[in-house]
Amino acid sequence: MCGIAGYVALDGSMPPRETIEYMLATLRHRGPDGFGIYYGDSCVLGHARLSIIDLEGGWQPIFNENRDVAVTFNGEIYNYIELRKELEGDGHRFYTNSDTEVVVHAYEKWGTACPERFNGQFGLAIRDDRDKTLFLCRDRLGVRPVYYARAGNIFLFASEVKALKASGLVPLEPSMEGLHQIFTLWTNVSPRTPFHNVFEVPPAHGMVVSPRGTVSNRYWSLPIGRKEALSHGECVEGVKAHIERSVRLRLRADVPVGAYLSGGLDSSLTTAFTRRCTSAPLKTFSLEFEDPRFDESEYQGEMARHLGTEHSSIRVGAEEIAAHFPEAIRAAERPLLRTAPVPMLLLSRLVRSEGYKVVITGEGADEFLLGYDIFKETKVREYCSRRPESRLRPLLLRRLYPYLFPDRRTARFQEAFFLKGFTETTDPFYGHRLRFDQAKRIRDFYSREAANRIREDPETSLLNAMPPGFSDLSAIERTQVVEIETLLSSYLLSSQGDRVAMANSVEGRFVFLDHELIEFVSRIEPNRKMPGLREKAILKEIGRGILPSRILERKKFPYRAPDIESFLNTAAGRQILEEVLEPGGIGAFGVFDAGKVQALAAKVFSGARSNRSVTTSDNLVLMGVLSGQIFHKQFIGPSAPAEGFHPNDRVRRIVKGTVKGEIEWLRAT
Amino acid sequence: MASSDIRGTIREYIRDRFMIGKSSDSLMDTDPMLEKGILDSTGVLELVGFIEETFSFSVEDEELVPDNLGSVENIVRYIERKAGHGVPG
Repeated sequence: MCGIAGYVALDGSMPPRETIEYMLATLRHRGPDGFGIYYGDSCVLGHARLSIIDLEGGWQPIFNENRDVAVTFNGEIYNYIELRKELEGDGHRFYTNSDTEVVVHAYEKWGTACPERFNGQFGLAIRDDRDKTLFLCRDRLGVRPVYYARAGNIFLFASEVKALKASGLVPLEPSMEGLHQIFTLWTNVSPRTPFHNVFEVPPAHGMVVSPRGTVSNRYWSLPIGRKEALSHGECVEGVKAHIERSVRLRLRADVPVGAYLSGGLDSSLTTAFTRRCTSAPLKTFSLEFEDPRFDESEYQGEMARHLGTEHSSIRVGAEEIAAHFPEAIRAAERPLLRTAPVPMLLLSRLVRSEGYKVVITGEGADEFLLGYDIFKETKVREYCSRRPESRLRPLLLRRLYPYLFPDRRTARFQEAFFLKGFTETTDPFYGHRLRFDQAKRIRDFYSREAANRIREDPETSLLNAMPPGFSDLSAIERTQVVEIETLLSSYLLSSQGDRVAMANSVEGRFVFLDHELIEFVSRIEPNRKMPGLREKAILKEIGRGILPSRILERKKFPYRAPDIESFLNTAAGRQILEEVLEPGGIGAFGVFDAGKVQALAAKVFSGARSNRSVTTSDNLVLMGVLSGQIFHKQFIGPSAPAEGFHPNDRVRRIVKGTVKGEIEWLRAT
Repeated sequence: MASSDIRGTIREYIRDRFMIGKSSDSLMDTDPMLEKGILDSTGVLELVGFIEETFSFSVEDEELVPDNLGSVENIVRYIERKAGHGVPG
């Protein structure tokens, strides 16, 4: 796992030689083990390395036999062994044992269709000197990031936006459209970002850049709509076989692999399969919360004992969540409406401090095998819509969804809330309607100037980004696709995944995101995955006999962390709030109206003093303002001069046209 | 408290507590506040606390329904029913 960066001159001159060093140095957290740079014709490729496969030989950029194709690569190609055999059979010669080298030869053989052959998680850039093109590409679900920007005749790319900024060529400006998307949908619709002049390569896309222009192509789509009449047994056996295959592939590494254990069904299963697939001792890592409303340590301990793993955990409280929130925004490079990425940042720090670089993790099962509450909620609302006058049907919300009705007194209001718009079943965002509408409250706090700058409707942008056939799907499948295309890719795998793990040089490996597994489960009828309101029925069946019954039978416990309360109730949090909410800073960002924000803050502060809980919408607004202001402070406007390499960094430079002896190694002695 | 005073008191409370950032003429007395995103279930509990303190009666659990508390109009009518006209406020 690593960081990549580079640029091409589309015509005319190249930036100064040291530009790439500044870019790579900002990606040090992604790849602290060494830096590689290739200076080609009108092109520079850079790489910050975290060595996991072929520890000595895997230096990048890596070339083909003629050295006219070069790649800088972030991620893993899990099926590299099989691909290498095939490519060697065709006569390709390899000079390392790394998975990266497979990429250049696969590109030679299959061209820009090569990602279709990869099973993995990656962001990559290939320079092809034969036709002077640059090929950028991301994995199917967007586990690994690639951003790009244009500065005059220079086209730049990098794993993170901060590297683009460090080039000195891309002064970051906020995009009101991008921010408005985040404040409506919780995240961005690719290729937009919160920066006016920076875009991301969308997941499952390849992009060819040349002086003739830029062409983007989707090489894979979520297989939707095609269902097969598989029996329950066939589903269970099929998913089980895919999980086992996926785990085996994801254990390919030259360093020890650990596992995240949340105490829920998904990570318990991935850890159990990992345990079965390796004879090496297994190390597991967990997050515990001081606040019992969020804590699952009892179940984590039980699973660790059950599997006989060596277990480490970190206990997180509100004070730490508040204190590290700015760091999480620095990593995520976007405002965050939740604090949940912060504990994940602290967990990856624990992993790294114990000498691990790689963890197996369980994200994706809730989306693909119907685990989330939002799917049940959609099913119940749709069920109610068939007899809108029924007084009995809405009781399902209470009976099958008890934790959403913690206060008996407000049950009827909760019910009414969940039934808002419940008859509008053709609404493309039927399942997400309540959440999208709730976030709209943030708009009331925009400054007049900011509101006037908005031209795009985020829901229209999202609808345009949906795969073909989306509108023909059932309500529950539409909800699933929106969940996968927005929150999974751009939030869960990014803000709460890659960014907060790579901030501490830790690579997550996602068993349930194996594309063959996804293609298999996509053929299964939703009613097999969630018969009635029984979530993840197939996984539960697989877990029978493998997991303790207490883990199997426990109700779905969503991963959450205290949001604005973390700031209201702690010294560190109050200090951050005071700094961030002062009118000068709000005016400088220009997105929010200082007067309105002050009025809301006064209400919430006085409520906190008398122990009143914060309403959902006030929480959302304050999280938006707080994270927006921190985002502004960290990324927009003047910042400290970018740092270059350190004297003791390992750096390998290759200049095109020089012989092998001219590879320059820099290392402190 | 006269009916118009009850209405004024409730409107002012809702404006100050739940409509920060919104223009107050964007709420008609008959508008369903839940659907307009003004009230949520935590907000309802706050509102109940305010009504109990201001109008000196207790709101029974079974009365805590949108028909009584879902719009300004419904709240005014509910308070009038519960307290009767002229109850000291």
